[in-house]
Formats: sequence, C-alpha cells, structure tokens
Amino acid sequence: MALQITDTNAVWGVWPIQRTSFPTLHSLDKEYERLGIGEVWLSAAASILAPEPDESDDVLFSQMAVYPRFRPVKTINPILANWESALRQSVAHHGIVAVKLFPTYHGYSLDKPFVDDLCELCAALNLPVLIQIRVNDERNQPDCLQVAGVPTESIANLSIRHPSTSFIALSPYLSELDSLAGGGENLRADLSYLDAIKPLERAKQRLPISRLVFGSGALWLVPNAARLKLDYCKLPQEEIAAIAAENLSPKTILHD
Amino acid sequence: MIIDVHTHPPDYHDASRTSLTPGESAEILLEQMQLAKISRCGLLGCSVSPGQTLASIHAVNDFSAAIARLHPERFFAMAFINPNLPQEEVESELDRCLSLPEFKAVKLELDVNCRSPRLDIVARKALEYDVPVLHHSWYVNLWNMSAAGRKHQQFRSEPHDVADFARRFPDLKIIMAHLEGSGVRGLIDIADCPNVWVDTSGSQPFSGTLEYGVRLLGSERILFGSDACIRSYETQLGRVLGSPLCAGDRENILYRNAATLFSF
Repeated sequence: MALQITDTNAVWGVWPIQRTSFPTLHSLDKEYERLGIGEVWLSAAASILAPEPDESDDVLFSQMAVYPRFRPVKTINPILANWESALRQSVAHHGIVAVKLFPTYHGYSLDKPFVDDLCELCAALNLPVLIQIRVNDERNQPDCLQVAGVPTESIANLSIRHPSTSFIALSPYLSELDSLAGGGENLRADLSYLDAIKPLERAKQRLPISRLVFGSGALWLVPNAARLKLDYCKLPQEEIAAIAAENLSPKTILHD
Repeated sequence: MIIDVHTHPPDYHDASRTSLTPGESAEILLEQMQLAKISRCGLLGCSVSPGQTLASIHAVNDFSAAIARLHPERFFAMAFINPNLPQEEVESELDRCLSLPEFKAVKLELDVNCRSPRLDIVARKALEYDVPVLHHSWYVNLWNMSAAGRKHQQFRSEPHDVADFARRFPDLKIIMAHLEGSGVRGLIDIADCPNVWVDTSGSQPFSGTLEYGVRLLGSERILFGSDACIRSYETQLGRVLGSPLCAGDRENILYRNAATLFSF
C-alpha cells in the first residue's frame, strides 16, 4: 500500500529575496503528485512580510480551493488587535487546518500573554499551532532581512504551559531537537531542516518517533529532498508511516 | 550513474566519538552511496578547518588516499593544503600527493583568501599535474555568528575572489564549491570565467538557484557535490532531482561534467 504523506511545512507565493522553483500552484501540485505526497498544509508566503496577513491569505485560499491536495493554513500575527476575529473568520470561511506563527518575523516572544490567549483558542478550535523557527539559512540572509531563529527552548516551554494545544516546530536543525525534546508530548517537530547522514535515524535518537512529522519547507526548499529522507531511511515501516502522516491523525493531533 | 565531487569522509563514530579506520569510513560512505546510487565520490578530507599543520595535512590526505586505494572504482582523493604553510612545504605536499594515482584534484578551504599570491604555487602545481582546484566559496553573512565562527571565516574566499583567481590563472580548472552559499550573486561573479565550474553543495536544498545557474552558466559548468558527511544525500541529491531541469541538464550535472573534468 502506498505511503500516506502529509506535508506540514509549505508556503506558496513570492518570497522577494529568493528565486523559487514551481512558478504556478498547478506546477507545485504536479510536483507533489509526482512525489506521492497526498496532503499539503499550505500558507501564504506574502503574509509573513505583509502589514497584515489576511488579504494575502484570502487570495491564496481562494486560488488553492481547486486543488484538493492543498489544505489552508492561516498565518496569524498576534500583535495585531484583530487576530482573534481574523482567525475565527478563517475557520468559518476557509476550513483552515492549522495556524502558523512567525514570531521572529513579527517581533514578539512566545512568553507574551497574547500568545497564551491564542494557544487557548486554538485548543478550543482543534487547530494545531505551527511555529516557524526559520525560513532560510541565517548565513545566507541579506543585510536587509536578518532574522534570527525562534529559540527552541521557548517553544518547549510554551508547549508545557498549554498541554491541551498541539504544536509543531517547523524547520529545526538536528541539534535543536534536544531542546524541543524537553517540551510536552503535544510538541512535534518536522524534518525539513534535518541534514546529516541518516537524518531520521539521528532524529529518533533525540526525539521520539511519535513527535516527528513530515515537512518539506517548500516553496523555499525543493520538496523532493524531504521525500528522499523517507525513501532512504532504514527505520521500520511503521515508524516511517508514523512520521509521514500517522502522527497527525485525529487521535494524536487535533484537527480532523 | 552519479559522481559526487564534494565529499568529506567521516573519521569518527557518531556515538562513541572514537576514531574510524579508513576502511570503516569507506563502509559508511558506501552504504550511503548505495542508497543514493552514487557511483563515485571525490574525497576532500575529513577535517579541513583553518590552521592545519603539515603533519595534520599529511594525516588528512593519507586518510583520503587510503580510502581511495581500498576502492579505486568508487573513490578518488583531493589533496588538501594550507597555503599559509612555508612554500617548500606546500610544494612538497602537493608533489607527494599529486604524484599518486589516487589524487585527482587540489582542495583549498578557509586558510588564505584566494586573491593572495600565496596561492600561485598551488595553481602552478595544479597546472603542472593537470588537475582542477576545488575552492571553498560562500557569501556568508556573519551577523548571527559567534566570535569563534567569525574568526574561522576571517580569511574566507567569496565568489568574486574566486573569479579573480580564475582570471589570474585562465588555464587552471577551478571548481567553486557551494552553489547555494555563493547564490545568484556568486554565479554572476564567475559567469564570464569559463575555467570555473560550480558544485551544487551548500546549505539546505533551496529551490530556484540551480535553475538560475543552468540558465546563466549552462549545465556544462555545474557539478554535483553533496558535502556529505557534513550533509546528507537526501537533501543534496534532492536539490538536483527535485529541481525542474531537462534530463540532459540533469545528466550533465550528476555525471557527465565530472566524468569529463576528471577523465573517468
């Protein structure tokens, strides 16, 4: 039986400091079809740098509606006073599957009270919270856009403060799995930035298999690379299946 | 068939941190090569951080040579050198290595910026033995780097430095390492230097840069490099297999260009 794979870490749209492959949603959809990746949680790249994310989110959500593979992820900037109404509208109108945060791009730390409020609401709405640690290699950032990664200890602490909320840390380096391991069982990490010989075998030494999920980092990264991590690893098939999609099942993570 | 021109053999066990023999190191590489269908790897040396002495360089190069000798159909070595060493030591180490059949290139890293005349003897030796020079290159932004990291980078070469080196020695074949570290700006820097190739290694498999390189340089000037075992074949081969290229360009990058450059 074909492996069921869900990509939890993908964006679409123009990212002004990087050339990207796959110039249309259609071409990206075809690439995912070629790779056998059946579900992709997609947010809007433009929403990261925009003054408010709702407009670019709505444009993407309407464009991607004709592609069943793509599931909408709402970018929330909780320093904006209207974040709660924006989130509720996205649930009502677009059927979002998750909320994505970019704390270091939007200029807040995870110990702020409004982050706690957001996590409580997401738990009530059965929406996992995706926290984007980084979107590129800090060494390659241009002078005009130097943005540090989100401290992984702060993600771990957030998960402990909110045990009823599901969290996924997106794009951690292999070494950062150690501090994420100190978080609750409700905190998972994606594999997009794990880059070492035997990346998944090494990741398993740092974080239980039940807390690893598939993520590609597309459109910034080529999704083929994440797929090869599943293809080349020598973990038992049931562990590969767990990472590929099963760790996101309604039993273990909240959305259905 | 795939040729990887940028491989660092592992020299210690991950778990115990104890030293590996060349045979053990080769076995780790061969397992990964089998998974990724890599037919041949160019070995740059295990530890190539700045400030290596002649003795430590001997050890690095002997380790690479030993692996290549064990599996001559699967591995070839590149002679790592620190151009900051006395010129007679640079010359003698390059003669020692390049006179052996295992060595098919020279590897330069972070010791000396390649605009320096200290590289002249290296270039002349590479020309004498008719082998390419693979040079580290990166437009690295130091803002987020520790003091130790910045010190490590103080004599680094950037792509415009590689272009200068290539213009000083137009008959020398140069492989500029790290497509992604060099980026679009770096590719533009070396575009008018026909004696410079670029390898695909560097950082994560970011999309877009490889297609730009093919468009600007032509696929004939791009070589597959993984930076394994620092990085993985999953990500680095994924970059090439997952970029929208035509089959001919992909074959040039993965195999044909390296086969021509190294006369396989």
